[in-house]
Amino acid sequence: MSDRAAAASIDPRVHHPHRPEVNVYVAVFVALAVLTVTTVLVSYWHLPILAAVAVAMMIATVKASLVATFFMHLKGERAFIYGILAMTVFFVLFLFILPISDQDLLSGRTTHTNVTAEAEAR
Amino acid sequence: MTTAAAAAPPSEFRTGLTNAKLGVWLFLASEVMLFATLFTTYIVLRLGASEWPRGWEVLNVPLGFTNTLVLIVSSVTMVMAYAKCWDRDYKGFRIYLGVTIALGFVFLGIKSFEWAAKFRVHHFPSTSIYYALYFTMTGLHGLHVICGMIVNGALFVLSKKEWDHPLFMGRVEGSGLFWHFVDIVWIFLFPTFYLL
Repeated sequence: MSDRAAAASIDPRVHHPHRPEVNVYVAVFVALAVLTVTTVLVSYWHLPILAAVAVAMMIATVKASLVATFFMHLKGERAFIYGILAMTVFFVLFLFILPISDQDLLSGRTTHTNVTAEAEAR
Repeated sequence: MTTAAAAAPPSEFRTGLTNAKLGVWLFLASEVMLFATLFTTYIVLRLGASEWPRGWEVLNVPLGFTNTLVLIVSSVTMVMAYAKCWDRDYKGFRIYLGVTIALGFVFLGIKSFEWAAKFRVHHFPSTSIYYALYFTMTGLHGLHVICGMIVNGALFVLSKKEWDHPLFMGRVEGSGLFWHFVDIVWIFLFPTFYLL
């Protein structure tokens, strides 16, 4: 039997544990659309920067989690993948926390000037 | 050969994963580090800046919002292409994958329009740190969109011959994982540059 014939005799679904759930995909799409509209509407309130960052990043994290859980099929994924992702999250946290916890930055010291053309015009 | 030996799965399936899928996830882990580095750079530079524009003052929020919806819809069509692959519906698969590729073009078209509008008023990466980060991060993301479209385009062409290959669905799944990752990156880029 040729490789191709042998290959064709195997059901391709045998290696893929994720049975598609179309209803779930549609529900996730609706949730993503609603959250996108929400984050834009909230931005029109012109909240103080810290509150704006908190709300925008919270909504973005929920949206990203929905995509990863259902579209990327992390729900019901093999433990090995969870292990890879846990390690990634661990190092990403270091990547964020170490530079941001720099005392000079926390104390609000200006480390450089950043003037846009619009800011100059004002 | 004993029956037990014959029934043993090939070595590449012992983790329950194909080599390709494991490879894609490891690649995505490295991509997370790449974009996380850029986001950290953004945070550090913004915290240390004397002045920083709010996103809506300098960028077109409706266009960014439209592009966000375009990528979200393309993620749905991508996962539907996978669903059609599972159902062994060749025609449906090609329709959904074709729409996914087309939405990639729409996204790039809108992004090009936005970039061109900035260039017309002489806003370049050298204009300010804000624009340096904006062009770098959205440019790198745009490159990822192009790469995803190339892989999806290759699958669209290959599907004519390779549709029945047992690894074809794995390739669709791998390409889908990358495409969804590109969507996730944009989900964070949009508020970072347009809304904050």
